[in-house]
Amino acid sequence: MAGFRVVPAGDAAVLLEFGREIDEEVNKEAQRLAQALLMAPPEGVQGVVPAYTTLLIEYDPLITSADAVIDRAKSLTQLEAVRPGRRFLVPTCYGGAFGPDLEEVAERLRLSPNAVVERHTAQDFRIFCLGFSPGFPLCGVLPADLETPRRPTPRPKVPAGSVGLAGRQTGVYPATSPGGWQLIGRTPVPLFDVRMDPPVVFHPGDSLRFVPITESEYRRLESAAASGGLELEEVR
Amino acid sequence: MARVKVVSPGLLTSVQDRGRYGYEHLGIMVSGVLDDFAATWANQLLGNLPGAAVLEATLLGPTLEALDPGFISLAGADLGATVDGTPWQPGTVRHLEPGSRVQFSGRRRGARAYIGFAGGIDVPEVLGSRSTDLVAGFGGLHGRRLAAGDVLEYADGSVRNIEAAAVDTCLARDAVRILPGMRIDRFPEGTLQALVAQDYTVSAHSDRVGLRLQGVPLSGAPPRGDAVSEGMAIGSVQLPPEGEPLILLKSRGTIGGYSTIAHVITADLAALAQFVPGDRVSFEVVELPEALDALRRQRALLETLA
Repeated sequence: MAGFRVVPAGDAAVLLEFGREIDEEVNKEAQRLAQALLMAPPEGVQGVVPAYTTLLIEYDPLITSADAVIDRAKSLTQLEAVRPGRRFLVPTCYGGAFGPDLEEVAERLRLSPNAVVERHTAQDFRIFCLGFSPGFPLCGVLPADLETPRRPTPRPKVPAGSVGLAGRQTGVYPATSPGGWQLIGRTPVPLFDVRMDPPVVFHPGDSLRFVPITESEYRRLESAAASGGLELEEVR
Repeated sequence: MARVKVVSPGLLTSVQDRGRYGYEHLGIMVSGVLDDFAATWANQLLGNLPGAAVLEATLLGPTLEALDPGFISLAGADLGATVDGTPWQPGTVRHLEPGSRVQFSGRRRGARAYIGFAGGIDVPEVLGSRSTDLVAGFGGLHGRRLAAGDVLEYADGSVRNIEAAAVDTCLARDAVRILPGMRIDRFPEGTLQALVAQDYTVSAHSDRVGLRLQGVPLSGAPPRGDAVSEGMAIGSVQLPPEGEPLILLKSRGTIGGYSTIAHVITADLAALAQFVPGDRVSFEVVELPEALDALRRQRALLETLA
């Protein structure tokens, strides 16, 4: 069982650091503890933010203390995984209007657009954390030959469902928002809806496999989604 | 059920409660009132639960017209409130008759005023909160800031402090108290001292996401992309590579990549909410017991009203 380093983060939060480098096992430790704390929130704990290598725990310092929170965290690290990660297939239409940066990305990487799509669909990507905007899955790790810098200037409006690359991360914009990732495709699957609880489809620790679809398949799935008949199914 | 109509919305007025906690692990920001002290005071004046939804008005307040009789309260910044032309002091309760007009004639002190409504503003809870997430666009009233023509409903329940005398509930202060930041070891030695040694000016680019400060840039901040993104506590003082501080407020993204040099103590989050662009700000390093004492005193002050 890996331990954590305690980093005080002011009078109402503490950061637990499980490692320094992005690593699946380190990330699992942070997620496992986050889940345990969410299932049985200790008194005074207001929020937990698991990230790549860390877990931030926010609390009311007049109800509990950093020491009490850390003691509780230590006792919970003995637990097994609360919920194993799920695996989803994400139908994605690459290039064209759905992936306006695909050609430029391919050129920069000295690959054909098809080769970029092949590499992006050839492996599962782990969701290291959700952040940046509600439900945005930060996934990785991209193979080195897909490493792509962010766009120099963010777009003011990235459509919901856009699939992008940034550094050695990939992800999907769950809602229309500003964004600086290189957009290579788009999925018609709705990923964020505040009328649902939880409002998101993906959780930290799940993994995604992007699956290429044609534009006509995209349109068909999009209309199914509009009538509420499209949900991502978990696969083995 | 009582109603008020929004005649004009002011600069940025939104429905907020204490915030949307419990969803940060899904990337959902907290939102909520930036000045929890003033908002709670406004609620206490009416005998509301402390977490009831209020209006947060920024710099230029809204114009509201009552459609029904009901009680409202005011706390926080002094934005020059009047009811039917007579001054309405922060820290007091007013009874509205149908046709009564609430107006704001101009800012005198602070940045954010809180208007409480008896029983709380009745908007649906979204993910456990009535706060408006102004970045993602959900919660509150239709997921957005108020607009002319909106109608707000409130319960108009029991009211307590109808005779409350005006009290200054704007906790503005020039010297913001901080604790050393969680990534202080990533900065050159003496960076925290350099931060404390100068006065800053609040930038006009500040918003509910963060308070941006202008001053002599500090050198040696870790370059962009150097650190693994991590959870960011509210009140974190980040130092981007450009060297001017950014203090994260309740509409901050949950995860960020800049390194944190300091954390504003919880008791001074209320003061952060009351700065206006151009204000002078400085930092003062304190120890944890002092931070907790300040918070205890603030909560005790609220108890005197409860």
